[in-house]
Amino acid sequence: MTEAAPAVYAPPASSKNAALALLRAVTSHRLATVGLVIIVFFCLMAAFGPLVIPHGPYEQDLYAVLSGPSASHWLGTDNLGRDLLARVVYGARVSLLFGIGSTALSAGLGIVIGLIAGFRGGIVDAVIMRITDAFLCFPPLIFILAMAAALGPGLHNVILSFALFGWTGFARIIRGQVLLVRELPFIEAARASGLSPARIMFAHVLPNTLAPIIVAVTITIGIAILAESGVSFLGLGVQPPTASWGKELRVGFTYLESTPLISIVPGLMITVIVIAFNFVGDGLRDALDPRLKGAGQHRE
Amino acid sequence: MNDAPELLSVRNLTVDFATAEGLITAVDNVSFDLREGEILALVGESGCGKSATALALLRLIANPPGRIASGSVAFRGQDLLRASEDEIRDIRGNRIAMIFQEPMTSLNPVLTVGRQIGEPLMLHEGLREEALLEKCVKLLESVSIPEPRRRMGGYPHQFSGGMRQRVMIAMGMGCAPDIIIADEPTTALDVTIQAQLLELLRQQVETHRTALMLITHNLGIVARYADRVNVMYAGRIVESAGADDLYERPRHPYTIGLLRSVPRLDQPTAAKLVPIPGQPPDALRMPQGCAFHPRCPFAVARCRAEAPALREVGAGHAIACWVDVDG
Repeated sequence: MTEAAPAVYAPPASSKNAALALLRAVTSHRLATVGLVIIVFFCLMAAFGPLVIPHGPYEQDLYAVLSGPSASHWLGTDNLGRDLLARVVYGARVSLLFGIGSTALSAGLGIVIGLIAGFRGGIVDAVIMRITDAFLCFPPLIFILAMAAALGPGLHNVILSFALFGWTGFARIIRGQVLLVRELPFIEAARASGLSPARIMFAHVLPNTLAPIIVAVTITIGIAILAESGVSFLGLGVQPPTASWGKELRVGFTYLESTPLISIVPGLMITVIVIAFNFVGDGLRDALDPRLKGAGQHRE
Repeated sequence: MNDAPELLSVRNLTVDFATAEGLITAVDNVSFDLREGEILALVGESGCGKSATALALLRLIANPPGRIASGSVAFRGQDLLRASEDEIRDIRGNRIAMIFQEPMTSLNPVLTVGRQIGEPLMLHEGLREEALLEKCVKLLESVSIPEPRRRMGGYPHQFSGGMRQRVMIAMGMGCAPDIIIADEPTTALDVTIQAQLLELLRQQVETHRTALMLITHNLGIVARYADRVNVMYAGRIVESAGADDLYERPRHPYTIGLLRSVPRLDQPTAAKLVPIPGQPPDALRMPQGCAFHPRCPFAVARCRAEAPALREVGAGHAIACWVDVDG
């Protein structure tokens, strides 16, 4: 933090020093480090795994349908004789893209909408909040089905419909935080020093509301990865033969007694990545709240 | 009398707040002037409308529930109440700066101190990078923050209360404003630090001819620092006088009561403190006539019927009272 002193004005989020400081803070948090390592490993696996493993995800070995682990198929095969390891590695691409992509979109949308609602108040707030209420009492599956009917199935459309549906939670969290923060004296002080409402909103209110959002984001990524499995099962997500963890999990469901690995491996992957995101979320929350970091460091 | 050029001229300022129970008039027909290099104190109990007056000058009254019902605030001839949003924003923090009463909560906890000091300078003076850094360092030095270069990267929680208030003052002085409005700047601090900070503000007034509006309930501060004093009660100015004059010859019963209820070093310790009987009036149920009459030992029939206007009773000395008590 002391090294960051010359960055007088650079907003903490975009400053290289601050980003490094954040990384340092996360890595000083033991569980967050574990989470980060897992996430990085999964990302590397998704990117470079196919170069290492011997089989492709669509390659069928009809002599080894539903086989257990063997020398050529390390984790065994599925009902169509496809290599489970290859399916899982390729599936990581879809699942990570879906989890991170849909969450990033819905969080971005929710943050902007919630910020406007909380900051403007009055009629703007009332209208936005009634819209989010309407979204919240609408069954998500129906919404996603309707979206799929309108846009057609496929990964990108499902990400879009998740984002269009998922922003409400973020908007409500942010709005609640904004209502709390905007009454604090430092906001009045910012106004008294002549800052414009937009600047106060983004530079002063927003950074004070992010801690719960970061936690929500990490949890939502996990939920989205899980939800993708449900949507893929209904045939709305990625289309066969593309692999995703959720789809493998569902396929394995049928063969749970004979070949449980088909479900267990992707299920384990989902569990591990969800936990990893949660660890990182906890670490980030602690790191982003300056009141918790380096307490008593320079106090006089 | 001070005949420096007039900076700020407030006329008939009235501020209302709409509450669930009804309309409250927090500031009622307040008029006063502020000149270059003058220290004007606004004195009164909590809830008498001091802070609302200060906020109204810069149009910072939260609306709703608040509303500036009428009046004018002329700053160098420009009416701030009728200025556009851009114009008023250009004055806030630049020509008229405000220092708030809560040093613990008036700084943003998640931004570095350097960034918060730098922000108004970027905005109003267009300073960037090296020039900005130098200016921030200079400002922090001027309020005696040790190691300013290093401390700029720190967050408010790493500063003590006195240091945070000094940071606030540095922020207020940053753009060399014409007027500094200090709303109870030292209330939350201990006495030695109070004196330091007030000296700092006084230096600013003396070296830059800044006008200072000091809002306080501390009569000791007023006696020592102010040139002029406006005493407020229930949203109105009840007495306005030069500070020395006010202490020697208070003429409004409320001011007399106030001065009698504070211990003074220039009086024998045997002198008794006389509290003002009763409570300030409920803003929703203001008494008829003069708001002070239920607590006033000098009240006459007229006080119950009619509210007195501020009237001149001596050179630069005005009171809002039917009875001129020459205390």
